[in-house]
Amino acid sequence: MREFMAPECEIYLYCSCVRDTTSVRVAHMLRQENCNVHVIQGGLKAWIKAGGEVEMVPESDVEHLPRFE
Amino acid sequence: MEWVGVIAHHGYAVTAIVMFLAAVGLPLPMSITLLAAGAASLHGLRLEIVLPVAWAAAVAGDTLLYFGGRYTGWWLLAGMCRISMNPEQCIFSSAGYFYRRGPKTLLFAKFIPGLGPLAAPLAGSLNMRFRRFLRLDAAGVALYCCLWTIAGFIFSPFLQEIANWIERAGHTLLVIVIVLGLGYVLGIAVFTLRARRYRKIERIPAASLRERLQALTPDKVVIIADVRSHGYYDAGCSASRTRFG
Repeated sequence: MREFMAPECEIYLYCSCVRDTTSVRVAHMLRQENCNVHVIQGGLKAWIKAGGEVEMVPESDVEHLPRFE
Repeated sequence: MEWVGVIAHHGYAVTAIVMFLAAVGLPLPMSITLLAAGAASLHGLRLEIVLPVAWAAAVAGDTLLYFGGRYTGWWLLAGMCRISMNPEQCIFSSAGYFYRRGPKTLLFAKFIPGLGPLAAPLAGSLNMRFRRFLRLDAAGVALYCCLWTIAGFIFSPFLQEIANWIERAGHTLLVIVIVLGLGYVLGIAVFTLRARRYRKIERIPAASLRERLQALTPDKVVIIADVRSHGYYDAGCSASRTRFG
């Protein structure tokens, strides 16, 4: 993890929050660790709209919210 | 008591409209309307009609929001929480009720300030089965309507006293309302100022990032990280963590 926190490594964060709130908060914490971090404005939706590549999350990585079924 | 007079004259329609609009998220006084309807039942309104009308209107509003949450995900919740002082906390603290207490949250949601309008779209976005939602929501709304309407019926003389006092208080109440309004504006200002510490965080448009990635040299390391909270994933595909270089 530490190698990714070097200033030469660029980190871009995205979420799906109102005003990219989670990304901004995480970026603020990483910046305090001297990481070179940025937030993708508009989050995942903006990335898809700009034609960015996406792929399905592997089933083993998905964390399901409680579903009332 | 002017509101009781309005309810007594236009009773069923006013009750139904207020209950429906409040259920879909507008800041209208559900409990006061039901209190007034209960009090107005001593002045011509029929309790056995106004109760089912209020219940049906509220359940209809909740059902609309349920499907809104089901098909729009957290987008609707974000919109509804936008007027809150802390929109993100508004969504997550409401969702916390469901995580801790499960579907039975719907039985008492209407009694908790702030949670009432959010419970139905949350239930939809968390994929609660419709019949289960309808059963629990109908029971919760019935409990809410019965309690307040019967309270209005029983305490009608006291409500009249309260209404008279409100009329006499007049300007004092206006000052209190203004102070509360200023308090709300001040709260928004405080949250905005606190958020200024995040201004140093650079935001980059997605299109600019794509251009930057296409111009990358092989020695550069770039990470795109998904930091969505609660492990929530939008329906469909998602950008994965990608390492370049």
